[in-house]
Amino acid sequence: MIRRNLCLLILGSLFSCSVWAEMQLNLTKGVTEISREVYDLHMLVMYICTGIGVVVFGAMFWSIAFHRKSKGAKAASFHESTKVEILWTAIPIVILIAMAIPATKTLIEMENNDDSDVTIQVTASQWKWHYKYFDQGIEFYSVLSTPRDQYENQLENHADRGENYLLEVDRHLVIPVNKKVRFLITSDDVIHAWWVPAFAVKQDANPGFINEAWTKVDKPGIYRGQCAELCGKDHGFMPIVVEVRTEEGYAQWLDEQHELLAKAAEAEKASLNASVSMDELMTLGETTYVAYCAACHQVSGLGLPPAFPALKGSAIATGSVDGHITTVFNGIAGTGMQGYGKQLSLKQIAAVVTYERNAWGNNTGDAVQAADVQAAVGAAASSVQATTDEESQVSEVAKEVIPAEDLSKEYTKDELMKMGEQVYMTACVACHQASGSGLPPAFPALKGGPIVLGDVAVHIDIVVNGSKKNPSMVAFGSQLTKTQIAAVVTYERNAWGNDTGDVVQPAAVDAASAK
Amino acid sequence: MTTENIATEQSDHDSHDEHHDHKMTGVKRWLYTTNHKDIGTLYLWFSFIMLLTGGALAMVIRAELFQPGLQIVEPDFFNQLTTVHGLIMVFGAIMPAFTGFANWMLPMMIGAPDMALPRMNNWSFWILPFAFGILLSSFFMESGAPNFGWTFYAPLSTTFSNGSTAFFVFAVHIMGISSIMGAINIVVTIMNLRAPGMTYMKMPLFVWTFFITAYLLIAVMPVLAGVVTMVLTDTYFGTSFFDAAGGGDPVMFQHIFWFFGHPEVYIMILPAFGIVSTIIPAFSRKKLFGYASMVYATSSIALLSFIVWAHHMFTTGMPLFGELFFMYCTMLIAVPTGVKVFNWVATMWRGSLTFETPMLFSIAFVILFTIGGFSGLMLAMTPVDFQYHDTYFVVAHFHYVLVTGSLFSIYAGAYYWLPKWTGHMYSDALSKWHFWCSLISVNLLFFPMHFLGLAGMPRRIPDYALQFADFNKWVSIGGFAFGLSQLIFLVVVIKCIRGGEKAAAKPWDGAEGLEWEVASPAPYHTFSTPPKID
Amino acid sequence: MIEQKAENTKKNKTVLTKLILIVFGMFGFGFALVPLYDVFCDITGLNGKTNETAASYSASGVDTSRTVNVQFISRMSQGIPWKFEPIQREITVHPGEVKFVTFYAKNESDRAIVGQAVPSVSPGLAAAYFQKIECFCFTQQPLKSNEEVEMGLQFYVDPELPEDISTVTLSYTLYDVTGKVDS
Repeated sequence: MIRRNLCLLILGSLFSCSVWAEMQLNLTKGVTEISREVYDLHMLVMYICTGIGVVVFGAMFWSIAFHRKSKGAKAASFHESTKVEILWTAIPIVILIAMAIPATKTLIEMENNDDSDVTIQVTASQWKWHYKYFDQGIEFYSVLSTPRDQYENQLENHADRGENYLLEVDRHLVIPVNKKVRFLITSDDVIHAWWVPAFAVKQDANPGFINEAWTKVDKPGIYRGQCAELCGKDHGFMPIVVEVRTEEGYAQWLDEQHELLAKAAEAEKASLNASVSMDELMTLGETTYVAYCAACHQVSGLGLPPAFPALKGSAIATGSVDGHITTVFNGIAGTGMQGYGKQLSLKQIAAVVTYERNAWGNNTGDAVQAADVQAAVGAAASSVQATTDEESQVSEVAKEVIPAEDLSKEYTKDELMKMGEQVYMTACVACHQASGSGLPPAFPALKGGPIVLGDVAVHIDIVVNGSKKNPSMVAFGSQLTKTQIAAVVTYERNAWGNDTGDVVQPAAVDAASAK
Repeated sequence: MTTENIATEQSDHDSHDEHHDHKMTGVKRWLYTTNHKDIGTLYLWFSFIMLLTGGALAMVIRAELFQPGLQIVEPDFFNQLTTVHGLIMVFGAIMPAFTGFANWMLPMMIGAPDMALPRMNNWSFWILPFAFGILLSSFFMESGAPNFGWTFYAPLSTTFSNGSTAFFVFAVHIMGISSIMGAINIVVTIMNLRAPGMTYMKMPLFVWTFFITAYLLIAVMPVLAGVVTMVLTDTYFGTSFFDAAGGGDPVMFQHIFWFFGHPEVYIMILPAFGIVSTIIPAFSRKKLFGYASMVYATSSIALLSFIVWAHHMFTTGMPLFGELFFMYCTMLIAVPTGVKVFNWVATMWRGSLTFETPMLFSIAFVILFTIGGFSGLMLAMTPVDFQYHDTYFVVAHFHYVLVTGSLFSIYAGAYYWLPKWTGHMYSDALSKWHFWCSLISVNLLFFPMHFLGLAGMPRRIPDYALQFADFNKWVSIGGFAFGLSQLIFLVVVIKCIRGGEKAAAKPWDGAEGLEWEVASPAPYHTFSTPPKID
Repeated sequence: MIEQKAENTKKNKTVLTKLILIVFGMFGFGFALVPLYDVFCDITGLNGKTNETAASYSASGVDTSRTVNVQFISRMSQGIPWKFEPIQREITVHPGEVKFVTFYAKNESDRAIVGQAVPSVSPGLAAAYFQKIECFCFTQQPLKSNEEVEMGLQFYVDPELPEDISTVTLSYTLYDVTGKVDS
């Protein structure tokens, strides 16, 4: 009886068609012009292959049916025919050409990455995706959001699985509809591949190199894909979700993101002054740990040695707090340990470090606060993702507004030499080198150089307006202030034993450039 | 060659036996043997053991993929399974099996007394078990077995490896040396030991395919040795061949690897063409159609295989003209391959066919290999390859080519020559069971994979989205059934060795070739005096 | 019979020697593929690698009839606690025109670190036309703790750049090479 039930159960599970209906059997048509062309090509080749198959296998089965010895067939004696052989070399060539023409056309279209409206940097790492909007200062990680108990230890766990099991992430990549979106794809560690079937885009993410791909989606919606290149343990657990929005929807999303960034930056600042209780740190630490660390170091803290060492009783997790924080923040080069400084807030890092130092019997009793993290990693912490962008905007603004100069001011030689050295070291050193010996022939030596030792006005002119003979020498008139130019000219005329003794004042530069 | 010649040759041979046939007994016979038939037997048994080992790993993979969710293995161990499964099947099962055929059959087919370099022959076999011993032992080490896929793409296999890289590299080096020695032996034997009068264009096609394959091996196995050496030094000695930080390029790894890897694919299929081209004429009772064009087709496939490697890498970001060049070259391979298939069909056309087990496997080979060829043609089209690449569609493609292609041809050859090897006929009924069970289960195993791939399931993943669940269940069932079916073959072979109907010198009435001119089982020494070919 | 055997052995040896030479030749060829690949990439821009040493200006002149967008991207490899970013994110140039841009770098750790920036150009085809006259990536960058620096890149886009390319992206990945500094 039990046995019969078991049989029924097995049979029942075999023929359960509940989900079957959802799986398409053919390649997706997708939602872009390219993906539809790819689909058409796929169908074309499939029909051609089926046709050839019918003819070839037909002939074969005809022989099998009618030319059997048991039916009294006598073997014929032919065994070559140049005509036939030429024919069946030529016909496939014609068919292949017929296939190659549309394929070439589609390929040329696919490879045209130019004239995009939106550029997004896609960076893969083990096992998550990072998206950065080139013009928007928005960047975030996108991580699998299916809860662990839905896929781990399934012999004991029986959590219900959602519809998008293993194809869902915490933050979608959002792109606008009907716009050409260009992806710059690269990787931080091993090779991954970014693949969204509905766009017919699959491009490898190679560490140290960038690859391009593009798409222009014509239907808003949510499209799912996966990593398509073996990238280690959790290769099967790094899905891609792209949300295609209408233009207004996209604009609204951008606004929301900017707001969120501002809030995150504030929260980050607030967390520096806040003192969080041990309990709270441990709770937040545990959730953060499970979400970001447990894939490698395991929920038990035992890791998967030797690639992923145990944290329980480990030297780092029970040793110096600062060392522990910097490891989490910066990662360890050349290993699977990534830096989480950009992925987690200061508070989260503090919490996860606290958790690791106190869980699994590590019991160091250390409670780490956000401010400790800030102190341990120094200024780096101020450049967390929320603020990077604002900062660089500020610095750009500062560059554009040239502070009012007092051109009549007279500087001493020492002042000019000091300032001049600074300017030289940022603006000139790349080509002419700190030693002034340059990189001839493109970058002539300044030490003992004819221009530097010659007429002051010519020297100023070449710095302000660049060289007409040597295009490598660009004009610095718009990049440097007149005071800076005066200083750098003075410096060049007196450093490295040039010792002309000339002191060039801003007024002289002003006069020379007025000509 | 005439029967009189054979008779004199045999008696001549017997009189010589006393002083140069010191066949040892027990383990020593096999350890020290330099006899091509003994070594052939060793190769064939070794490859069958490896087939079962690699198959067992595949069973665990399929058991894990039976349902969504992680049930029996961890993702990292899953990667170790897929890696070692691939390595064992390629280097341990298919390639040694063909070397086994070459050892057993080549000297007999060209009328040579033995392989040209018998002591090297012994070496080339006996280092193999050590290679796979090293590879498999890494399963029991702290690091675990290699987990970066049999294609060991850098930097997953270098900077980010789990510490098994050294074992992997050492094992591959030994496998490589073994294959190279085997290949050198084949080339020297064919060039120097052909019976008088057997010109190149009179050699059986079987000999031709092994000749060309051996050249391919000599050309590309050293490149594999080079690339694994670079992986080794990158991992342990601080070089930066594939590390962008030191001026290297991880994509270069793929170029060098596939420069070896694509000819390797043909190393595994050209001998299969040879076997099938021997068997189909025998059971059609008709000469092979277009012998000369078969030779030319085989050679052109071998040559083309050197300029198509990058079709494995369309998604790595190649410039447009590169993609076009490799697409066109790859499509071109369809022409000589097509010629082969057409020739086989033309050989059967208006023949007088019978369907013994070797013929059944050969017919299945032609049909299923052609299906694998069709999916190969689809994969050659760069724009569509962007969708197929690294999905189950590719898995389906190369399993059709390697399992229902290479492996089926090995079975066909084994059944064809078993009477010659053992002196007994195998059990016909059991062998038919083996064929039909394998045929049905292998298609249940691999055909749905096409659909899984088209629907978007990536390869090498331990768990999958829910819409793939039903097909994976069927694939797994097919997998278990196919695995178990191979045990029937083991029973057939053991029964055949122990006894059975006595086999005639030439048990197949349509068979041709020198190997059928000697008694069954083939005497320990054959053709000590070369036969004369008219 | 014996003579024939001897003759066979001799013949075998000749073929064997040749084949072994081929084996060693192909092993060497495997390694020769490394420089060959670089040459091939230089010619075709296969992998988007740019020139590794300074190029001298050799364009025929400035092509003012069209403009090219040059985008700059900076990335840190894992484990390098630097701040590293382009000061200008995007500039427009005429092919043939020499431009100078700067990147900001700061070592935010408490130890001295040697960094090496590795450039990559996309589309790869443009790499051969992207000429760097001077670049901080030609040398390694040692920075003391908390030291900051502005690093220069002087380049021009060759006017021969194919017409259909109007955007060129230059990405720098910064690696920590403290452990393997050239001595």
